[in-house]
Amino acid sequence: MTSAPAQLLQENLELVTRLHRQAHDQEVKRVAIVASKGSLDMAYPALILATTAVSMGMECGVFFTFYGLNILHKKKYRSLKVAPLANPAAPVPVPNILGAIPGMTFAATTMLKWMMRRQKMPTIQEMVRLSQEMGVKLIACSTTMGVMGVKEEDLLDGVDIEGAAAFLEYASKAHVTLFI
Amino acid sequence: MPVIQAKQAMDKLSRGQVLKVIATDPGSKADIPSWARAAGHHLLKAEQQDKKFLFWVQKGQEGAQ
Repeated sequence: MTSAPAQLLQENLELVTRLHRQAHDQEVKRVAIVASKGSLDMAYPALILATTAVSMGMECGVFFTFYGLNILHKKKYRSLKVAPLANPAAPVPVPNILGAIPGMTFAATTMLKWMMRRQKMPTIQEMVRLSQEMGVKLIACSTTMGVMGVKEEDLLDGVDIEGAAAFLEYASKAHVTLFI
Repeated sequence: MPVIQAKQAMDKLSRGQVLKVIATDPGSKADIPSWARAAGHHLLKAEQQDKKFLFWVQKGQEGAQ
C-alpha cells in the first residue's frame, strides 16, 4: 500500500519519463560522417549517406580529412580514381601482379563509372552539388589542408574549414557517427 | 536513389497531398517506408508489380522533409 506522496511522486516520474521520450523522438536527428578516403569507390558512400540523411529530415555534417579532402578539391574531385591493386573486393577481381600494370587503374575507374552510369547514379560532382543544395554541412579538415598544402582557393565554394576539435563537438551531439 | 528523388518531389507538395513513387531499386522496399516514417509522412499503400515497387505516400506536417 503506497502513501499519497509516494504515489504522486511515482506519477510525476512517469510523466517526466514520457515527456522525455517524446522530446527525444521528436528532436532532429544528427548524422556526423568522417570521409577519410579519396578513391572513387569510397567517395560515394559518404555522399549517399549524407544526402539520404537529409532526405529523411535529419541534419548531416561530413568532415573531409586526409584523402577525403580531394572530394572537395575543385580540380581533384573531377578525377577520383579506384585502383584494382590490392583491392580483392573489387567487382572484377584482378590478381595483384596484373593490377600493377600501367593502365589498370584507368580500367578499374572506367569500369566503376560505367557501373554507376548503368544504375543511373549521379557523378561525384553531381553528388557534391546535391549535398550542398540539400544543406549538408561540408567541412574541410584544416590540419589536412596544412599537411597536403591545400589552400582555401583550391576548395569548392561553401565549404567550412574546421579542425578535429570543432568536428568532434559537432559529432558529440550526433545520433549517428560514421567513419568512412 | 529513390529516397532522394522522392524527397525532392515531396517538397513540391502540400500537406495532405499524396505522392506516388515508382521505383525499380529493390532496396526501395525498405527504404521508402523508412524515409516516410523518418520524414513524418504517412505510407498509405505499398505494392509490387513485376520489377516495379509502388508506394503512395501522404505528406505529413509542413516542415517535415
